[in-house]
Amino acid sequence: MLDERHAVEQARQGNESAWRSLYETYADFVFRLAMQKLGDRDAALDVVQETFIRASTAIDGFRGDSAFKSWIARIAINEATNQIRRQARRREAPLEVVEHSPSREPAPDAEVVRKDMAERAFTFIRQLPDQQRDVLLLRTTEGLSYAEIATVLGSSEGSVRVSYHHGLRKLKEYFRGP
Amino acid sequence: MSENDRDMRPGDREHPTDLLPDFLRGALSPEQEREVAAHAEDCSVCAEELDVLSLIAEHPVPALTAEERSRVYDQIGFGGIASGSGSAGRSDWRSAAWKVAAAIALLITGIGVWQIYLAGSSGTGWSAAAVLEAWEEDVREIDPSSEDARALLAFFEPDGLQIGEADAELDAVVDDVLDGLDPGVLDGIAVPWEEQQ
Repeated sequence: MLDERHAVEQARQGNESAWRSLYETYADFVFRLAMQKLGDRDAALDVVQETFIRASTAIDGFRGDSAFKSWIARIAINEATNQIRRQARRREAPLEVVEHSPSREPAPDAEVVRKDMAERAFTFIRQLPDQQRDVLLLRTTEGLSYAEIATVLGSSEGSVRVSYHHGLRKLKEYFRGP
Repeated sequence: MSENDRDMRPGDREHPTDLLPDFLRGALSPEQEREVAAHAEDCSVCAEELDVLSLIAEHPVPALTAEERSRVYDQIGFGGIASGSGSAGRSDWRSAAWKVAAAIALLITGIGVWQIYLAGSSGTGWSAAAVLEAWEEDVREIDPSSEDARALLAFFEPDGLQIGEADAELDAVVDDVLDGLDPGVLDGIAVPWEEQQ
């Protein structure tokens, strides 16, 4: 098991094996956050790379007031948000707006339909306002508490709760249809 | 007291909304799990919410392949730290680009503050939006074929860009530079002049 405090201290000294330990521990976590937010594998890999590069340049500023996981999640979310902005600027056509209303017809294959609905749920979540999207993903897929999410996003716990409920309400309305 | 304990106590009659993600993840105590399950059976609001949340839970969890994990690790270049050659993944030219970017950002900020001063002293008022727009114009005037522009673009877009696209891309760079500025700095300047209006 990783002795995180020790690893961070060693990483500060430029110890490569400490960085490898931190990378092995958190690379998947960062990748999941990026994939769920971006839905694009290559872009998510870029986020993993940039996140750890930024972490390596900013590690001296990490004082251990929060968990390393929260700290790196914050960097990852900022990097993923920057990716979204860059993608949006490069895209000639405007963002595709989800305007789907669920079909009332019986599903030919329940499993396929369910998978499709899960995919649509993520597509919808990715188009929510930044904080609602981030809170919803961190709470539902990573199981972070509101307090932890507040630390990651640099927000208040109250604001995080409100964002969660707004985001979830919109998701429910989307599946309810008009 | 954990968040879960705080959110639902035995006998709690309210919707256990905050517990539903943990319920789906199997992260509740057996007692809480029974309570949430019993509640959801009789509550259409929570049943609907569980149904929507379960869509998220059912979505495949993305994971790095061993090849991706190894490739990205190599690209980060943590070895550079150990050998004392600088930050991971940042070679010397990119460090230089950082300095160029910082210098240009300072230049832009200086011009912006000067414009705020001019607008304030002439009594015409100003808005943050106008200042930002002015900054963007200043950056557009940077010669896109210059080393400064090239270094700046290279820093923000490590994969490299065609300088021919520089006008649109410089817009993007401005956004990134402005994103990095503390808006509180602007607020501090803004208040006194707004009070003068």
